[in-house]
Amino acid sequence: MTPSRSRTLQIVALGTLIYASLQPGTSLEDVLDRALLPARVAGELVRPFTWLTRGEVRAAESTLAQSDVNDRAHARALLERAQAHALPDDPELARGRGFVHAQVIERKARTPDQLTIQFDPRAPLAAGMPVVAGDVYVGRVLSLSPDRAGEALVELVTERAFRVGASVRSSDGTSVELVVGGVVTGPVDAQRKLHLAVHAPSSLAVDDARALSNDARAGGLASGLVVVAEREAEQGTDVWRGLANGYRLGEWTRLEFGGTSVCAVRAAIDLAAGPYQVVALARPEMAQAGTALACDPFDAQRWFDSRSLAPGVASIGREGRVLAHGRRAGIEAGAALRAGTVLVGRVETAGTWTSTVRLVGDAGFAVHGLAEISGTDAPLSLGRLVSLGRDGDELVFEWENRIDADSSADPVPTQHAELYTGGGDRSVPAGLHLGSTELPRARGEHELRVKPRVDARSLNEFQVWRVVLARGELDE
Amino acid sequence: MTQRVVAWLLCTAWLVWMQSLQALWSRHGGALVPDLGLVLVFSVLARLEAREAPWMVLSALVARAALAVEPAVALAAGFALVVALVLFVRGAFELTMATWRTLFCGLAVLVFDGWLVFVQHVRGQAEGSSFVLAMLALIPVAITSALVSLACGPLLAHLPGLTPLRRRRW
Repeated sequence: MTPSRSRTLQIVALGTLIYASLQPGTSLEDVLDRALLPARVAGELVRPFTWLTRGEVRAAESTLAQSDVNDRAHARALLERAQAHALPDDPELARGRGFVHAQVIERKARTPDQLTIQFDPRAPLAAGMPVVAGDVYVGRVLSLSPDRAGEALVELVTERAFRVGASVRSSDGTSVELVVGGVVTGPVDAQRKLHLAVHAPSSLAVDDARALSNDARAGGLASGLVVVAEREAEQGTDVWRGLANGYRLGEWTRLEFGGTSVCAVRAAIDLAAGPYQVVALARPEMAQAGTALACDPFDAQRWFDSRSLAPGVASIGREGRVLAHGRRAGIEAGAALRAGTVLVGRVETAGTWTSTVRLVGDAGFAVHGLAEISGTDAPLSLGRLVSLGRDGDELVFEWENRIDADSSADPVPTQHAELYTGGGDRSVPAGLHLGSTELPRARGEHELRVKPRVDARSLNEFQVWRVVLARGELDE
Repeated sequence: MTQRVVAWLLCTAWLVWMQSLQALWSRHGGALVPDLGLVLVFSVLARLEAREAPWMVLSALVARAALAVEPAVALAAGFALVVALVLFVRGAFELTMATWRTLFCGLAVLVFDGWLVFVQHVRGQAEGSSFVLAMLALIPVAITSALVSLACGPLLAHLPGLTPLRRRRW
């Protein structure tokens, strides 16, 4: 080969590598991953270095072990409280029904009107069951996952083709029947709230719920309040429909589009932003004993042990680890890593033989949060927390507060909170401890300074979450 | 032939150990952590036959991939860039001399680790963090690495087993 041809080949090879580096998911990346089996062997050369950190590792592990049993019980109780808030407040809506708790684990941008939920695989969930959040009707179970135990798809009432029978009391006190499903598109009112579409109402003589006095609304099923009113069916997936009767859809309203008045239902909750915890309605005899968790974060079947090849990483400025296991051992990208009851990181990439991990202090690490606020029973779903790195022993997270109202107070009022992982992510179970913080209670972007129970960098052994539990594994 | 294969295997082992030392050093953070693996790569490259440079890329890649969280393809591109840069520079400067090895080793560290930071940001894996701040944080790393190269460069190039790789014809 002539020198000039050789140089051309080298330039082409370098260009290809640069391109593949900037474009994730190329086949070259996959080929290199498979070709780097020797790197897995090279990683074993590092063993002596892990021995040097044995004392520090033992100290961190014993800190976690001291309170492990209590911490697990506390986390489970927290999740049970979070789930309890998804049950109906109105005792009438609980009568004659059984409940299957579930948490939302995925919502694809491509199909925003469908949610993937996770529930206890032993729970009797079936297609067609109504799904509610508190007293509010959300949708119904579309199908159970054929290959993933304890997962199902829920179709929301906002889906264009969705239809649910409903009723609302008219201004003269008689019941007006209608069908609700899909959303009203167009220039809706200034509040930009979600409006469900109304189809074929039996009468239009209904008061606008916003015009009603508070006294008139206080009676529960007051005039203007649209509730589910489905006909009972005897077979097929429709047999569950009647269980949703009485659950709220929202308030009857009229929208004005260029002089035309359109009937709509102002949704009781904003389905674009949640919910994270839901309940499927079943027959009373199918009710779960006690308050079974939708997903037990400490279910031994869902965790397996792995170890770090080295006591740190060679990547400058990063907080991570390379695990001695990869896809062949069942590790998937995104999976949570815990030590005791504490979330310490997530799998970034799962290679064939090894996996790379981002620890919680690595800038860019993201997780859904749940706050247990001192003196408050109901845990608070925080949404996404993004790590900005570490400041001394504290982790710094970026958090956008969309829960509270604006506040002009300076400094912003805060409340002491224990942070846990929240729902909304299949790869990270809710209920793993993140740390303690002072939570700002004002709308807007904030930096949370979180004091973790243990320094993840001190650990070499972890437990990795099995993201997918195959149906067949339930019987083992 | 066998001698050179063994030398490359030993070079890979030394690189792994250097990077383990670096990992141990940076275990609890701190800005002044030298990129020891890259200092060794630089020291060997300064004395290596140019036609053997691809083996240097391969050896460094295998060693680094075992202990780094970045994608292997980005590491490969980074090492290829650094090797190309060092081979180009050593045509004009004697990289075994204290001044030049200090200067260019620091530069090589900046190029390599800067490239990895760039890839991380382009891939969207550094949400919330500033690219400029991440690049500025590499300056102390480059300076520390340059000082290690100044103090220990020749020593690293003479690690046991690497003799067959120091056969550059001038």
